[in-house]
Formats: sequence, C-alpha cells, structure tokens
Amino acid sequence: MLLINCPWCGPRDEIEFRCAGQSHIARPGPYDRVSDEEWARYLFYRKNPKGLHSERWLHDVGCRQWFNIARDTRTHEIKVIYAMTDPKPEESTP
Amino acid sequence: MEIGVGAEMETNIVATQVTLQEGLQARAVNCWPSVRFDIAAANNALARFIPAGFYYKTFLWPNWRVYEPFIRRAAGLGRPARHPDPNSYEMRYAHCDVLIVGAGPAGLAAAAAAASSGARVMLVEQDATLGGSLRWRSGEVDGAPGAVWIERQRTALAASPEVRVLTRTAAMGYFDHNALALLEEVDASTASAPRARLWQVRAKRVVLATGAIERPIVFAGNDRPGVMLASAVAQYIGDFGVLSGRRAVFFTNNDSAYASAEAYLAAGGAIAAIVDSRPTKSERGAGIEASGVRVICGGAVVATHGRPALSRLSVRKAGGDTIEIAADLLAISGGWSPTLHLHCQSGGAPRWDEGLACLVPGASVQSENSVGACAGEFLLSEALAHGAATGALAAHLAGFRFAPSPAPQAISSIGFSIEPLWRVGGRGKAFVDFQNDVTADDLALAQRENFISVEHLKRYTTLGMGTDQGKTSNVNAIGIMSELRQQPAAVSGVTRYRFPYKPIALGALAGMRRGEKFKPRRRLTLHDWHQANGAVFEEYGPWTRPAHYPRAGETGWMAEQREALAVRNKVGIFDGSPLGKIEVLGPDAAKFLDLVYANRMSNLEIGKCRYGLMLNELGVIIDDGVCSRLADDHFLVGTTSAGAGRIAAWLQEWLQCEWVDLEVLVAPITQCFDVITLSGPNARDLLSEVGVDFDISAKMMPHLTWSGGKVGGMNARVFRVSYTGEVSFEINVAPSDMSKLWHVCFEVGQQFGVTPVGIDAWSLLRTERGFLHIGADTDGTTTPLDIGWGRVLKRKTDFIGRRSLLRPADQREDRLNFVGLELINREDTVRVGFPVRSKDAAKATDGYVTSAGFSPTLKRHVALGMLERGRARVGEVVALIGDRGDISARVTEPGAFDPKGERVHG
Repeated sequence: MLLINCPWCGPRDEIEFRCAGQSHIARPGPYDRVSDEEWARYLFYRKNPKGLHSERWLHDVGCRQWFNIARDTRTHEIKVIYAMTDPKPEESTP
Repeated sequence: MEIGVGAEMETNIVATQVTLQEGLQARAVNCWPSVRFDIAAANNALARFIPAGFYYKTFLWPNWRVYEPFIRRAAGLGRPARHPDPNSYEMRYAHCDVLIVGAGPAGLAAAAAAASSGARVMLVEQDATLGGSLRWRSGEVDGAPGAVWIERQRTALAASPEVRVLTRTAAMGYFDHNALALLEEVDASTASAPRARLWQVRAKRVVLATGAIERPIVFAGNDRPGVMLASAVAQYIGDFGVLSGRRAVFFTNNDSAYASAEAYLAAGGAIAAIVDSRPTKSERGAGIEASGVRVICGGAVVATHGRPALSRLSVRKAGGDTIEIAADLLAISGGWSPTLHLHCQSGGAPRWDEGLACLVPGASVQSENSVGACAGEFLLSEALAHGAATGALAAHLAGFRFAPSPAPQAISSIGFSIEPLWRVGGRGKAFVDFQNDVTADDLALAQRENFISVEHLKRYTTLGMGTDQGKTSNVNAIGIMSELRQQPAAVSGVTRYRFPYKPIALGALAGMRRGEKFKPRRRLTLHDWHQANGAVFEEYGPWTRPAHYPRAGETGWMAEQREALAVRNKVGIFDGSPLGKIEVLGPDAAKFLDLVYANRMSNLEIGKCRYGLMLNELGVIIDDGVCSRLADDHFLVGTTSAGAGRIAAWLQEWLQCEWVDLEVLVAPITQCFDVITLSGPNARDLLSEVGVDFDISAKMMPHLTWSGGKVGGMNARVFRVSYTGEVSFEINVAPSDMSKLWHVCFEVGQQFGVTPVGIDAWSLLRTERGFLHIGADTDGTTTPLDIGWGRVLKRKTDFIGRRSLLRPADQREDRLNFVGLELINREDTVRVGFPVRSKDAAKATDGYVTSAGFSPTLKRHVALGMLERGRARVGEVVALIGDRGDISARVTEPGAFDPKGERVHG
C-alpha cells in the first residue's frame, strides 16, 4: 500500500488513488496525417521499465485532481510528484 | 484441529495455540476416519508405494477431480463452516513513529529505548502476555529474574502516554511504504466486542523482534507422540507448570537444548540421556554431565518405538553401536530458524548464515531493522543490547532526539554453537514437514526427478504449503536438498514468505464491509412511494429501482406488458432520476464537446437538444445520451444512468491531462435533479393539467427542445426527449420538490390513465422502437460505423476515437452491424443470446440477438441484434438458432414499431 503525497491533500493511502499508467504520451495529430503505426503506438505501446517510471495518477476519492508520479518500479519509491503540465524529470545517475 | 460447531466452526487450528474455555468443542482433522485408525497409518505400511507426487501421477484417469475429495479428506484438510460467520469484526487505522513487532526481550528493550525519546510507539505481541521466551527461560536481566524485569517494562510502557501496547496481536503482513496489517484477537469477555480487529498501521520505522522458531531433527520415527521440541518442553514448564514426560531423552545438535534440559531437571523430570550429535563435548555438556546426566556425544536417535506413544528409542553411538533407551519423552532441537516472514514481505532477501546454520535477514529494503533472535542474535545479552540500540536509532530516524539509554544487562545467556545435522540416516519415515507429511525420502525423490529449485520442490512435495507455511520445515528442507545436491546451503535459495503470517478469518479481512454494508445501496427519493405502490425492485448498477409494479394476480411479465401498453395508448410515469446529468460550462465548452462527442454539438442552438455518441480513443462507443444547450457557453450532457459517474470522471481526465488549455468547467449534477418522465399520447395533456408557465405545444416546444420554468409551481427544466418513441417530457426538479410534483402528476394523471412504469416495460418500449442500449446491444468492439453512424466521418474536425475509425479493421465490411430482426412466424419466441446461423459451414455464427421481448402492441416477439454485414443484408431471411430448432427472421432496420419515428412528434 503506497503512501502518496497528493499535491492538494497531503499524504494519503494508495487506496484513494487510481493509476492510469504511463504518462507523457503525446496525442498524435492532426488525425488525417497520422499513420496507422503511429496511432497504434499511441494506443497500445507502453513502457514497462525496471526503474524510474512516470505515471499518471488521480486522487479519485479526494480532490479528483490528476498529477504525475515518478516511481521506481523496483522499490516502489516515489521520487517526484509533479503537475500534469510539468516536463518529465530526468533520471539522475546514482 | 477443528474447533466450534455450526457457523462458529473453525478449521486447521493449531491445538497448542487455543485458549481453553469451558465447553470448547474440538476435533482432530489430521486423521481420518479417527485418531485411533488413521488411514494415513495404513499408508505408513504402504509408504514405499506412495512417494511424493504419487497422487499427481496415479489419479490421472478419468481426471483428478474424481479422487480429490477422498484424498483431501484423508489428507486432513479441514472443512469450512457451512454458515455465514456470526462474529463481527472491526478495522482500524493507526499511524506511529516506531512500530515494534514482538515483545520478547529484544522487542521490550527496543520499545523502552524508543519510548524514552518521546516517539509514538506501538508494540505488538501475538501472545496474551509480554516477555516472549524470557517468560519461560531462566535468566536474569538487570539483576532481576526475567518475570520481574518483564513486569517492570510492562508497567513503564503502560505509563508512557505515547506508547500503545497490543497483545494477542500478530503482524500478518508487511506492505509497501511501511504499511503493516495486524490482527488483534479481541478478548471475548465483552459480549459487544468484535471477535477480531484488523489494524492497518503506517509506521515511520519498524523494528522486527519476531524471534526464532526451533527446528526439529529429521530422523526415522520423529512423528511419534512423545517427540517434541526441546523449547516446547521448557515453555510448558515455564508458562503452564506442565511436565511433558517423566523420563526424557534430549536429542540436539546445539547448546540451546541444554537450557531446556536444565529447566526440565529443575521441574522434577528425569533425563535418561542427552544425545548430542556433535562429536566433541561442549562446556554445557560437561556441566550437566557433572550433575549426573548421561551425555552421548556424536550420537543420534535412529528409531522410536511404542504405541500409541513413545516408550523406547534407539540411539546409535559414535562408534556405530546401537543402544535402546526407555523414555516417554524425546525432546529435540535441530537449531533455530529466525522468523523472517515480515522481513521477506518488506522486500528483504534473507541470506544463509553458515555459522548459525539458518537464514538471517538480508539488507533492509524498507525502513525496518531486525533485532534479537529473528536477526540471528540467539544470546539474551546480545538481543537486549541490539534491541535497545535499534529502538533508540529508530526513534531518531523517525525525527526524535537520539536518546541512547544503557542497554539492559543479562547475566545468564544460553550458548548456541550449532553443527548442522540435516538428516539422520535410517529406515522409516523421517518427517521434514509434519503438517503436510513430507519426508526426507520425498525430498530425495524430488531431487532424483529434478524438482530441485526450492519453488518446484515446494509444489511437487507440498512441503511448506500447510497453514504453518514451512515455519519448522523450510530450513531443514534447504539443508537436506543442499546435501543431496552436494552444494552449500547458501546457493539453494529460499521460497518467499507471503501474507498472511498465519491463517486469518476471511471475516476479519472484510471487517464491516459485509451484507448491506458491502456496498452502499442507492435508493431513489421516491423509494417509499414505489414500495407502497407495489413495485418489485431490482439492482441496476448501484441503484435499487422499480422493475415493474404488478397488480394483484399479475406476474412480473404481465405487469410489464400492461405498463408498456399504457405508454403506447395513454401515458406512463417513470422515475428516471438516476439518469446522468453533467453540466459543461465555459468559453471553450462547445469546442470541448465537439471533441468528446462523435457528432457535432457546437452548432446546436440554445434551447435545443441533440442525441450524441461518445467514443473512447479506440473508436468504441462508451456512452450515449442527449446533450442540451442551456446558453452559449453552457451545456447539459445527459449520460446513461450507469455512465453518470464514469463519464464525468472521463471528461475531467481529458481536461486535466490532454486539453489543459481549454477553459471548461465540468460539474456532475446527477443528484441535484430528480427526473419525472411522462411518456405517451396523453403526456402533454397531463402536463398542461399539472400547470406549466411556458408553452409546451407541439409547435412551440417540438421534439428535442427544452424549456425552463414552473411546473406545478415548482422550478423545473423540461426536456422533450424520448426513450420510448412516444411524446415524452423529462421533468427535472430538485429532489426536495420531487415527492410533491410526482404526487401532483399522479393525481392529476388519473383522468388521463396514468400508469407507473418500471424498467422492464421501459426497456421493452425502446426495443420495440429499435433504440440502441449501450452495453446490451453494443459491446467493447462496437463503433459508430457498426450502428449506421458512418456520417460522423464527414465532420471536418477531430474527436476522440476518430482516427481509430479509419483503421483497416474498423472499415471492414464484414463487421457486425446493428439490425432489427422480424420473425417470419408470429408464434415464434426469441430471446437475447440466440445466435444467427451462418450460411458458411466453416463458421459457427453470423451474429446474435442483443435485445428481445414480446411486443404487446404488435402482438409478436421483436428483436434487435448484431449481424455480420447486417446493413447490407436488410430484407434477407436468416435463421436464428433457438432452443427448439431454427427460427426464421427477416433482417430489418432497427425498430419494429413506428419505424419512421412519427409518433414522437405528436
């Protein structure tokens, strides 16, 4: 059970949140200039990294706000929580 | 064993852990048919024919399930109670700075040190009292006997305001971010108390002081009654004043058993011999020998004799001679295994300690430390010192001042110095896992058959799979397998320990969330009225709604037919309150709705309504409903009742995650309005009679428009939209006005033949009319193109899912299309799910029926379905595969009744 520090509500149990998977997926367009392959990548292709992963989360049973979490998939350590409009953080080399 | 009767029955309980109570009912489960004639004892005679994997290999024909019940019965797997659990359970949450698991000497020392810093400390102990092994082992701490020191600690902790001590509380699981689950067995003396309480604790630091469990030695006959662990002998004496036998033999490979032997002697027991497998006599051995006890070094117990319990045993001496010794108790110690379950669950990987011959905690992954015996610190002085230091450190790391306090001093310590003895050779069954009847020979067989990975070994032999999850057997199995494979134990690996640490009642996990409290039940404002008027309720998503209102002597189906006819001929009144309502407001509202609907909404005029489809990015229809323009920058999005919450969240997701620049506010207002729907030819007359302060004539308020004003004197929004194909008015009012307005409509409506209509008739009416029902006619593959909405691709702008509709697979002509199915023979019956027979013999079907019912207006069954190339096949006669043979049906456009949709404009 992760402890997630909601930017609006503070630390809350994971059970209050919903994870929508990988973040920073650009929606390709305009629609009439997008190849089938490019569209398929947008719809279906997702990263499954061992290590830092940027995900979209929703504080569903709370403020209902979306935000990004950079999480280490090996340890579940939450490295950064940042706004939807913020750029993806660079992975710092240890 | 199994305790209790009826609903209170609990199975697979460890006999030694049950508190005796007057009237307790207990039965053995590990023997069948009875303890005196255990079928497994007969198996003993056949042992060489029933090796590991025997059942898997033998009972293959006709299949395993035929035999499984008998085998399981004999295997002693308990029976579950057949009634609902009558007990109540609670769930609690807690936060603390330092959580200490285990209140033995190490845990108590840690708690005292952590508490002295002012940190919030939780100390949890699975036993009823504190102290752990110090309760029953000899030893002095800080100059006082163990029991006195324990009492001092207990008193001090009880006086600390920031300390919470929970006894009879086992830590069951260790989860991410230092979340732990504890199960507190509540004292049953209070009648109102729950049986157990599940705690979910979030701790800044965790100190694991879970102790160690003594291991048996694997030798032939080690399961005979009278054979028990040496520490258990000492604990029975210390905790209960019970001497387990009169004349004992101790069999050990380490020093710890000598302390147990001394306790046994002091309690008045006689020791026939101490068999020590180590060739050299230890200091402890020499000491006890001086007091007159025979010590046999380099020896081993090779057989036990006696029925039903131990009377004699065979000992092979160092030289190879075997002697017989009479004894009614054999106390064994094969070393100690730290209790690593929580450390493992926290993500730690245990490592093998060659000197201690056991697994010890590896590096910490989460904010935890292990102290005392569970860290391999088997000496009391060591456990106390490390416990105190770690408790102080944990509080400091949790943000409190570092307050090192002098560690409690112990003067008496038990030595250890183990020399591994994984298996004593000899004929007969030498048990490794006593609960699952896995012997050393079974492990050897598994090794020969190449089930050598610990994970394979476990599943092939069932070793460690009982309710004890290998607490006593895992390390011996690793040792034996390592010997067989001639490799160091360190490389043999270890199976993972998983939640829960010990069996847990399912009711405890559910807590209060059972029965009516499992899920909130949503009732309509008018629930009581519906009930008083004979409604039969059903669950629709979270809502409890009237399915139909049968009159005396009517079946549900008869009521549905009568209600549907009333709508077609007069007027029905329907409670549509759960219908999803979402207000979309802002300068970019129209632009946003053009993106989220497959059809355009920005050109909708104020005061008008339009039916729309919403797709997901895959092009699949996810919801439908009517969108109304309230003002230039203000829309009301109608969704299905089931989609109300989901669609509002989905709109928010697009606004917050994708189109962040759009200035749009989304407000879910489903519960802000209740809905009375009047539908039927008399609907307008009824509404006029109720009284409206705006023009509702067909000319001024045609189909697909809306108006706001007073209805029966109450503020309302009225929408002319129709689910039934008849003239309909959806009247939205505040829930506080609902009851009054409904009553007025119902009273005034009597002269117009008003009839309350339930969901059954409502669904039938829309099936007759051929309207789509999302989730019934459509599934997770249905696109607008499949239902005849190809026109959406003529739009000039993008919308969610648009690009997906252009993919070759979405453009294929052999996709399933939404069609009507008109039965050729009026007497035929059709039901949802009937397949459409394919003319291509290689294919099973061409589609299926998605909606069906008997139309009381048309006096025949009507159906809708999804049919391959359906739209191109309108007019063709197809065969439906019915219960009693094929049924002929003509493919039509959807809508058997009023196919041109004229009635709605009346």
